[in-house]
Amino acid sequence: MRLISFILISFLFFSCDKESFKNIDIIGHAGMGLSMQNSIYHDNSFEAVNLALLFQGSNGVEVDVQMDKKGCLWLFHNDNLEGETTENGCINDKQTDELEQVKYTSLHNEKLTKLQQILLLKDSTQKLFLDIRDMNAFSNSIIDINIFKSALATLEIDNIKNVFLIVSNQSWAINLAQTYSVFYCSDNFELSKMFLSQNTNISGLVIRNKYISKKQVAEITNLNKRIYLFDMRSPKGNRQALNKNPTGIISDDIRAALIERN
Amino acid sequence: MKRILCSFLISLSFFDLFGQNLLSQQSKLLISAEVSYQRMDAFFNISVQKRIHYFEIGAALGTGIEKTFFQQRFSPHLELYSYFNLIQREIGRKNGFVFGPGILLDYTSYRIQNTINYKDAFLGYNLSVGRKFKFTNQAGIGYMLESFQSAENKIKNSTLNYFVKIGMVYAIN
Repeated sequence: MRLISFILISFLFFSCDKESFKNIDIIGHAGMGLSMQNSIYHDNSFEAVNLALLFQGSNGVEVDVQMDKKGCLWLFHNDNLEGETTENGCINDKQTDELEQVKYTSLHNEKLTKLQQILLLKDSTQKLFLDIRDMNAFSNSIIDINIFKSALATLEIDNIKNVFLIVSNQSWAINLAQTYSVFYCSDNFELSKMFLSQNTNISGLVIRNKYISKKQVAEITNLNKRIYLFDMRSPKGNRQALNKNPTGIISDDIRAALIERN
Repeated sequence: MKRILCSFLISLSFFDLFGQNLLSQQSKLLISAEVSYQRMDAFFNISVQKRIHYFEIGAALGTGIEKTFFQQRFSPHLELYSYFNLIQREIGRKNGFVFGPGILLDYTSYRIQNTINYKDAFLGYNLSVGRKFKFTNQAGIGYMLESFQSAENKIKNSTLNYFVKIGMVYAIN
């Protein structure tokens, strides 16, 4: 009897109610994650984005956006094409027709994807975050914002529901926020908080999970801003991020993140 | 083709000469506890295997470690395998050494909002050392199929997968 009581008490002691995170968005980082072994497809590929959006409960995806020499927008994370693809050089230094031939050197040899190709993949409730790369990696200079804006205007992104821009350049963020819903991205919490409080038209903050505490997340939401955390590559990282109660998490393991939330 | 078949049969008899009857005759039913690592999760398995001539045929039942123990989401795992004991040697009086190629089929599932299923087929090797108690190591590469029901239709994705497994085997008889 003592033994049974001990087992029951131990069970009650060690069992825990999982906190409910139902209202927190789960967003796939670059589709199914950056350099994740359990991601079947290469990050930022059409296939990865499509798969991430197909999981029931998935609230959207984040992708990295770079502009080529002709003003066409592509999904690609790194500064240089070599190592990841069949081509050398930078996106910014390539013509559109050159990039149309480029494939990732991954198992599935996915083609490099244009932003235009994924715009209609999501349903109306799902979110698409575009991480805007303002640097020309080839010339090591800031891109002319007006050229970038006209590239975005061509795709009529402002007419698509739930598309958000993630911008780490403050002047770009202020400028783009006139037309689009913009999230500021920084690793510096104090700087971000000050920037958000000064700019009411910026929608919120995207910040690495390790650089922000639960209390600081609350400080941002108290400003009536939304906050998304990223750089979580494990179930433990996802759980830590969800415990901070942000608006959403941009996870590298969307399957694990969905389990944690549900 | 005939040449390949002939050389295969000759090699069988060659290994049989050296392998004698040693390990296969002494222990026919084996149970094992193993830990394996794959692309999607690590698994803990309990397995039963039977030795029939040169072949070891077995089935394992297990669970995904990360999903079940760290995410409180039961993830059952089922394996069927068969290995061909290409090399069987005695090491001293108490130990034996078995090595050979084989195939392994497995199935895993867990639930998020809907059930996600994984089916794998691997080609690999089996290495075991010992007699009554054996240390075993298996590894292989193969093909993985992930499938689940989306809001609209059934989604299937395939890719390469691998497994590395270590375990302890106990020979019942």
